[in-house]
Amino acid sequence: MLLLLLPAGLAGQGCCSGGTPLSGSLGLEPLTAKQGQIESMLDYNTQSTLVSGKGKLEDNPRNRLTYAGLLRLSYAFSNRWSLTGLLSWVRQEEKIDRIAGGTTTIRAQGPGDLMLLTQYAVLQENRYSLLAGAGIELPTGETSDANPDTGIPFHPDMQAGRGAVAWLGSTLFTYNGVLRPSGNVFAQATYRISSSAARYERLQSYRFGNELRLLTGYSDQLLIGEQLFAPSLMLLYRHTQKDLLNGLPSPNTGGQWLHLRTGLQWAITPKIEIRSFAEWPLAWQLEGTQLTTALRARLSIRYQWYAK
Amino acid sequence: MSRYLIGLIAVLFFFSSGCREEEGSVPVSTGPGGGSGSTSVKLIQEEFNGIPIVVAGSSNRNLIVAFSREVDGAVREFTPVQGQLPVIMEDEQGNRWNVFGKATFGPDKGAQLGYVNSGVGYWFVFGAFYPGLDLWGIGERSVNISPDTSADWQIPTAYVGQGTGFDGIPALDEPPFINYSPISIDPDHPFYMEDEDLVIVVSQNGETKIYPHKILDWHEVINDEVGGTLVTVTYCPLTGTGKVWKRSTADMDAGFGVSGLLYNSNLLSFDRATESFWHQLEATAVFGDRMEERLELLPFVETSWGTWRGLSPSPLIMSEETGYNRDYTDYPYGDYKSSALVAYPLLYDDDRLPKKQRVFSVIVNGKARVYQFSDF
Repeated sequence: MLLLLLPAGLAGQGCCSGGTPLSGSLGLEPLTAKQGQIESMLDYNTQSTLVSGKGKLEDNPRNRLTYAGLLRLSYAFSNRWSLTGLLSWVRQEEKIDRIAGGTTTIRAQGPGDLMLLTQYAVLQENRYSLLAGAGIELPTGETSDANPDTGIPFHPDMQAGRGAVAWLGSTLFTYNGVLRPSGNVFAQATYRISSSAARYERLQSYRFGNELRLLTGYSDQLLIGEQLFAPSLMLLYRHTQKDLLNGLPSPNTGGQWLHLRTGLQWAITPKIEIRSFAEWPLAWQLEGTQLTTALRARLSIRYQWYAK
Repeated sequence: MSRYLIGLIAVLFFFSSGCREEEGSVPVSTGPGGGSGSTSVKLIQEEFNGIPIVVAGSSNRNLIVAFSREVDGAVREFTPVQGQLPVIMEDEQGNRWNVFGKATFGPDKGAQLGYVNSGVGYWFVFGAFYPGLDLWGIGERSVNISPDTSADWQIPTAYVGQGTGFDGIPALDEPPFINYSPISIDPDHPFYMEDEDLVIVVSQNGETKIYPHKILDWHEVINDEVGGTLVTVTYCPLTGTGKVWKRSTADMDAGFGVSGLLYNSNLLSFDRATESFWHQLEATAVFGDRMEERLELLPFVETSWGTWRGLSPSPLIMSEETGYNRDYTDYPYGDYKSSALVAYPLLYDDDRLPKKQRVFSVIVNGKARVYQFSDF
């Protein structure tokens, strides 16, 4: 963000453009009154592609790996209103191929920020629905994890928490019965507005760039034997503004990405579902030089119940 | 008739000066280095922190250098030499001295002036490292700062930031060079350097090598050999500062790398033998097994490619074929050079000049004096 690229935007050529996977994890979901869900997720993100603008730079010595464990808890108070909370634990590693041979790895980890989202069902028809949500990200995460060898704190984009409040707005439209009775198309838009965090003993303010995510795709249900599967194919467009450092735009941050995402859900029982997706970059247009995602994947298990 | 006489005198003067027996580690001027007037050399001779120094510069040449005026225990007085780059000054004994501080003509031919730790950089970094420093023509500012240090570090860690890790920015080792010649450039593949691009020029034992900022922006540290001397050329793109270190001891053969740490936004290098961290401007270890050790700083010239390429028929400059897939015509930090942005906290933010104004600093025993290009 170092950064990357550098950075660390200014950490030397190349910040990292991933960060903790919170805003992409608070998906809106249709819920009915008194329905509850708990989902445990493992998220993996490898940022091993060094990009300059639209181009890819070969012989990149750095690979930023993010492993996150997330716990989502949702409950619908009525057919229209529900509340979702998301807890996370984030571990980031940066592996660097050394010039003299071998690899050095630096690691940062800690609790991530807490996210809360209220959801409202604007439209609930047989064939389509429209959901809207608003949320807040609270700076409960770790922001001062330091290198144990030197005692120097890691760059902000290596920390598990962002250290600042952020606001989230999201909307999801689904349309059922496309191509097949069980097929549906969907589109989700999410916008995240960041505030400034104080860094380096309040000597510096750092604000992550606001982020827009547009996700659209098609999913269907397939009965194989007695097991119900739901494959999906999606496109994700992501745009982030440049980060602001003491109010000034930070080089090597911000840009646009287009990703392909494939998903598969498996309903083991009516209450338990295994969910997964993998995501690959199709194209990008980034500001300056940045380390960016080569692969992201998630595996989760969801349990749902209905309160009496 | 008088016009022809003046012309004849001018021609005779040209040949008489051009035929002087001068030699040095760099060739005599053959091109655009031969003017005067707006490109003239100006000298400032004074004492700083107990050391008699001469600061020689030409603002339009984008060139300032500084040396001790002490030779064999006596202080020399210099006068500027115009139109003879790389020769810039002459002393009262008739010696002519070049931009590397070497006598190229006169009774002391071959002598070397003592190098004074000096070089160009963004104003903010000198203000941060040397709070209240002496701004030439204006003076010092009263600043009382006593930062905390620890047993492990020689510097206050509150002003050290971590970007990436060891070798996250790859240093270069003995990179390839080319003898530049305009006629050998393929018009379909224009040379990557423009005349206004800045370069660091190092000269040792008759060999002169040119290290462009364009490449240093991406690698920051280059371990090389110049004229048989092991050198490490360091450049921090976030502070605009270059320094050349001499690697003299056997365990320095392995060279230096980029640590990914920055102090006052300035590069901290690491030595590959012990992974101690080294302060760029002072060439001293501030953390690790070699803490408090100091390297010898070597003289270098920082100027524009357009200035230097006119001084030699085939200057030896780094090839852009470094072995890394980088577009060296692309500056990796966006609008950083012109923005007021500073990446990491500063020990002291001196607001007497714009943060990114390029200035020339002289550092003697922990004190700094800064000169502006407009002073020359």
